[in-house]
Amino acid sequence: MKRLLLFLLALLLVFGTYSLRATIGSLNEQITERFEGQRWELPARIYGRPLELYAGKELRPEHLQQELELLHYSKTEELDKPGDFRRDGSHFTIHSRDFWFPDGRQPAAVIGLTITDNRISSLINQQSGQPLSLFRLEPLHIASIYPRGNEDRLLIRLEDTPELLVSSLLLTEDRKFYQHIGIRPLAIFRALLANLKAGKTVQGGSTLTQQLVKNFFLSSEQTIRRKFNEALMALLLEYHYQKDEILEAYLNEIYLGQDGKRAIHGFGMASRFYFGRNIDELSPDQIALLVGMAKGASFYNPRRHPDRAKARRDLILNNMGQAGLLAQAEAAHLQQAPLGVSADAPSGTTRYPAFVQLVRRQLKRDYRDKDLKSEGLSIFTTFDPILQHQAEKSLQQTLADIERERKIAPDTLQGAIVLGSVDQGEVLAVVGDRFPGQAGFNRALDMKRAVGSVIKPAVYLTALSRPDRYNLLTTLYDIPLTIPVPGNDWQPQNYDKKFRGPVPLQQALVESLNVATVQLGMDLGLDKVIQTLNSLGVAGNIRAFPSLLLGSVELPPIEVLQMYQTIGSGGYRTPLRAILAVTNLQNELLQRYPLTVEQAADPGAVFCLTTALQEVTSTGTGRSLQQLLPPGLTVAGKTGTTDNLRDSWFAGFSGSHVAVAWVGRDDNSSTGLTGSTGALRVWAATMAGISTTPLKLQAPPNIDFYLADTVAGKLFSDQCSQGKAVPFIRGGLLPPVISCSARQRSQQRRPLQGTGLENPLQQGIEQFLRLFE
Amino acid sequence: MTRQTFHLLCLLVVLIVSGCTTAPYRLPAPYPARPLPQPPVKRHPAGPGPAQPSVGQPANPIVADISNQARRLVQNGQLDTAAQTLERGLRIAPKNASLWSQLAAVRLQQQRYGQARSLAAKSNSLAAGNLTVIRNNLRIIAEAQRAAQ
Repeated sequence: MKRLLLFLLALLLVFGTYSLRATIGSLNEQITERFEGQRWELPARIYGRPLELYAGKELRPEHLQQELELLHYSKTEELDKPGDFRRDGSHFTIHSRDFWFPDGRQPAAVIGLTITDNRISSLINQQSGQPLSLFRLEPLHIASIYPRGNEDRLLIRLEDTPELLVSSLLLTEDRKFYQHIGIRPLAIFRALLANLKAGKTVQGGSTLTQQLVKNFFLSSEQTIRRKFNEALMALLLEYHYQKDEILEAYLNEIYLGQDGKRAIHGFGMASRFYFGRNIDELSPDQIALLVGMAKGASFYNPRRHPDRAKARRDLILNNMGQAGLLAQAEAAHLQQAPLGVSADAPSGTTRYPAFVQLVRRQLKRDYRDKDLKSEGLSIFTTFDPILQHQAEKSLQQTLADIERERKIAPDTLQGAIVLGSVDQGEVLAVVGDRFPGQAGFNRALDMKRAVGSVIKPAVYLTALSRPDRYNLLTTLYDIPLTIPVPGNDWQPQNYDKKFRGPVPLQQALVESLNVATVQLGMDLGLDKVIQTLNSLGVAGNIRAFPSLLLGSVELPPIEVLQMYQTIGSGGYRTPLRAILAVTNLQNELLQRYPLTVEQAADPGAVFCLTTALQEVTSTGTGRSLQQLLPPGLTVAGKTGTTDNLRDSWFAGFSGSHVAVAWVGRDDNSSTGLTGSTGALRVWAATMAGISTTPLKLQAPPNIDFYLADTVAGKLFSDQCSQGKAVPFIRGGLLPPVISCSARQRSQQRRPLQGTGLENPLQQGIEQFLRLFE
Repeated sequence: MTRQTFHLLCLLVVLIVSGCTTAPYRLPAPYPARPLPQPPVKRHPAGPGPAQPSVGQPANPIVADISNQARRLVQNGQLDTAAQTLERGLRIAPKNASLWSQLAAVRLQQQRYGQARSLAAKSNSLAAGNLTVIRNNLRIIAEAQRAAQ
């Protein structure tokens, strides 16, 4: 019968008018062209880093739970599907999802892990009972780059689609799908009669093939000509392609929802959109809901019209029971279940706009916009959601605390924080606004502000890189100084307007003395300091003004991060990376962004500098960190404050993380905050909230330690209980040596340290130096 | 008095004053012939104690696994995957000198000589006296230099 029908239709086509033949020709061309080539423009998907699991890894149970929740894992007892997990105190059992990483596929597995004292104490494959050495959870999808039509879809293959979904879809939409030839004339005729009788559309006679044709090739207008074309194209489609191919295309094409401008297409994406799960993780009632929505995604929108959607789902469940796809009792039982749709639609706009902006800028260098919007690329980044959430929380809470304590109008301070890994230069978190969901001005990347004393390490590193002249104990003069500047001479001042007199180099940095630093920088030469800044990774043209030495140069936080990354990794600069790899739709690696290092400074000099920067955080301007960080978390860093307390900065690193925080106002007015009362607190709250390792300084081969009197700037010739170990570059200039007893004698004469200029020697030196100016 | 003589005079006075007050930074010092025994680095009040020199070898079993896996990949000629694996290892143990050294060796094989040199130097700065690692690094640096010429 069907063959006869096909024959008759073919006859009609062959003997039809010339225009009909032309129409068929053109439709045929449309179909093959679209079906043979890439069927859809697919968005690029941007992923964060995968959470690596291994015995010994530092991981707080709450962070693991947070990661699983972000990945939309469900807490269940059964663990029968990927995407399920169970938690018994600090023991987790996780049924992970299958995922293609840039270096290969990791199939789904059930793993068990125990966390003891915030460390993974055991990790096993639950199925085999064998210990696992290394396992990673799939990375969080953080953003997509959508095609022009804003269609979002996640391609699925027919063989990966749950059988229940396919069979209940066919049951609901097209029971004779595997038998018909693309159209069912009798069904059309029946529908026509029913509709005429009712005076409106009450029944549709479309097959799945026709529905696919309608969505895929035609507009939604309801004209006879369009209906005719639809039928012809359905026949042609069936003639050219297998049933399974047509069904798979339908599963991916069907419209199933709207999120602002973004259109949700296909069951793969709909499953994520409504349930936060992969298609193979759906329960029968969830399948029933999606299948029911094929009839009208807006009308049965479960978030907007839950009652309608539930009635539709229950009808489908009932039909499934009757058709034997489900046990009747189960079908009845499931009708009692709530819809189970996640309350908030996962937004098509990213939750992490500041980081994604960085990724898109880096992508722009290597990819055409068109490819990003259509080729279905996967972009693997360094983004760490746990750190990001902690950084966002720290910024928000600390700014609110500061405003409350200092009676500043609420929500008027702004801030930014960027976080990276010290040795790999991977950018892990970017917060560009205290309300981070806003995709507005990205202060972390685009805001250029004077950096204040955060620049000083560059001056001191320039000095320490000349071991023939400088070491940590070299005496600097913190005394009134006038720098001739065309138009107006410049007299730098210390923050407290006092002068310290002769002071060891290390102490000048630890106390962030402006005058001593300017004197040092002028002795070294501005060009040399600029060279150091450039090699530390501060790009761009820095103008050689003396005020540069106190941080008049304006930089965005991300650039300061690069500078401190180089220092934190011992003088080896690694260009900051946000992207690790890009793969195509077939999971083939297109591009890798490898780890590269470049020696930017002598490791010995950087080691001496870092020793001083560590001292900053224990006894210097950053000493409040002692109270703010957990005991044992040693760090190194530097505060920065600009004129009139406009900008508050803190930049520094632990053993594994480098971070830069800024607090200020958008209109550049005063905040009343110094580096240590503002940004340092944001920085500390972030570091205290993440798993990071203490900074353990490891001396490079060209370093020797000596016992020294760090106040007098001398070495001891013998063991002395009052001595401190100070590193020196081997072969470089060493300070004078005294004996321990000599120091005790000299202690009776007060050393040249104080706040005023009452000391006659100091006054004498000052007067003579002025003569030279 | 010319400006020059005035400056010389001033300098002289400064030197005399310095001499009188034994300003230490101007005096020649009897440097110790050898470095004094290295005392512990300043201890944080509640800190983790003095820095322990890393042995440079993969002490962590997971690092050992990764190192072996990378070695196998290199033997199979899969240099790029080996580098990826080592980078993964460095994310776990960023201060591990022997992983850095292994990565340097992979770069050398890939004829990326500049990177081979830098990575080997970085490894050296973390090797803390581990002679095997240091020797390896020096060999890599020398070979890279030779090949680059």
